[in-house]
Amino acid sequence: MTGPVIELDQVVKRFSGGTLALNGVSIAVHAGERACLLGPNGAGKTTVIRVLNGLLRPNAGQARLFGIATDAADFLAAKRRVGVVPQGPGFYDELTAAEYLELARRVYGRGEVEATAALFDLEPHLAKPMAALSSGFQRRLLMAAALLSEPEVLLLDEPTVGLDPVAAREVRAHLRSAMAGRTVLFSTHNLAEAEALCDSVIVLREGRVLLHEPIATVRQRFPQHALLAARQGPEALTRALSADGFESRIANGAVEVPLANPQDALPDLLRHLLAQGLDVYEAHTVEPSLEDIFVAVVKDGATGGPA
Amino acid sequence: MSPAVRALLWKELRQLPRKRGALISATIFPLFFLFLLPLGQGFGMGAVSPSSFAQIEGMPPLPGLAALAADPRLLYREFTLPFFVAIGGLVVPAITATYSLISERERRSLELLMALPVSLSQILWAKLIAVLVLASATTLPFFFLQQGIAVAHDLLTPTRVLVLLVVLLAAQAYSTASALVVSLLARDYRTANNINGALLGPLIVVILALLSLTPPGEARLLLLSLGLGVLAAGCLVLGIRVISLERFLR
Repeated sequence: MTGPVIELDQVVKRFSGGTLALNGVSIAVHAGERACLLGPNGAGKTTVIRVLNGLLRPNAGQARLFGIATDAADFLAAKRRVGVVPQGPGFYDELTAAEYLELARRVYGRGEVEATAALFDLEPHLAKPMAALSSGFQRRLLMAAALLSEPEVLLLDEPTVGLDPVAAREVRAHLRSAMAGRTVLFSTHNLAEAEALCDSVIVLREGRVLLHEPIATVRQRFPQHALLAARQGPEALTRALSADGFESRIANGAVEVPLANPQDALPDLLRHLLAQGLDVYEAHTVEPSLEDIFVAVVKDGATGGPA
Repeated sequence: MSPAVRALLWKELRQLPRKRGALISATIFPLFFLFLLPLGQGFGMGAVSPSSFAQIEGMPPLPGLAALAADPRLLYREFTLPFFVAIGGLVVPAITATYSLISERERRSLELLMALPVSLSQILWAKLIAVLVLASATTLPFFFLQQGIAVAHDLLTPTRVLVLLVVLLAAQAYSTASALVVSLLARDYRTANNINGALLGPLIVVILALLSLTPPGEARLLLLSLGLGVLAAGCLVLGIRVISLERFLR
């Protein structure tokens, strides 16, 4: 198909208590794109996933998977091409891990339970009740169920939240291979995770989309930094930079200087500082992290960010 | 039945027998209402001679009861037994259905199912069918055992057994469908059981009134079955079509 695989078109979702969770959200994720859905608590990330999953019905607008609206009669046909990892569902104590995977296989009408379980190292736990599994293995089970049918699309709602660092790292490793070659909408709080696993970013705040761009593109619009350190200390360095009209800030004992084009500007700046008698012993460029971008976008509430 | 409902039914039929509380309730109630109580009543009534029974005073002069005053066997066949069968059919599935539906919501496992390509109505259909299968598996053996004994002792005819089976199945259908609506509306298991109990009270009065006010015979039992069937259909439409997934998720 040529249109977006995952799409929200001016979706408004208001809960019965009056809370406006989504306020005209439009998102279009195209085939092969791995988009991270970022946002502070209450931004509407889980609501987006639930609307796309057909769990919540929009008050206005439309959500579509493969061009099929979530309220259309044939939506389940679209959903059969999608694997979903929900955020923190309850687990059955009367159903084993193997039985849940078998249920998924029967519902999708395809897939190999044992082979998929092996991918996630679940074999020793297949006979255990789902509720008796550790949090890490419960997440693996959810991912195994989502991937059992070899879906084209993945909807992932914070699959590593609440896990200890070791379990989170293991789940992340599974995610990396699961996301390869698929269209993915991945809701997460973890910016490092988003940076490592996604190629585009969607920032939500208070039910509105603030940004949806490839991470590489958005990085270009946020200035790189030069990180400098001098024997005279950061205060002396910032004083000298300020006198020359440079903005700077002290971070972790070094001085950060935003530079639009560090390759051209940094050598001149260094020569100038050395000429002033400052013993600069460290200078390198730093790309803005996703965290920097996220904080700037959420703080400004604007799609553009600093020039 | 769609493949998705079949798959969900497979899951429910694996789960339900593992829910010990629901299984005990599903076995004990039919044991009492469909076997022990009717059996005791049957033997008790059969042991009383019509002449001594006719001397019992105070039988209200109602159309359904007046004709029964002279014969304890008739009273058993036309009043006591249909009442127990109806109650047995009403109580059992409601407990299991409510447990199955509410527990899904209370432990937030519905999202686990909705992550798969299934709809809420498919989930609910699978649960209702599973509850009916379990209810039938626990009630029918007791029912047929007790009815067989009654037929062997000339308390019932095979035709009446079939009519009572229709009453039992209609009562089970209503019980399951009403439990669906109650479970979707109630906040928790306790509230749902309270509402189920509150709904059962007036229904018992209606059944007693029907048995007391209408002339004995198969027709009124079929009328009772029809009434329960219509109520069941109404509850099903309300539960499957009107009440939304969001309400169930709340």
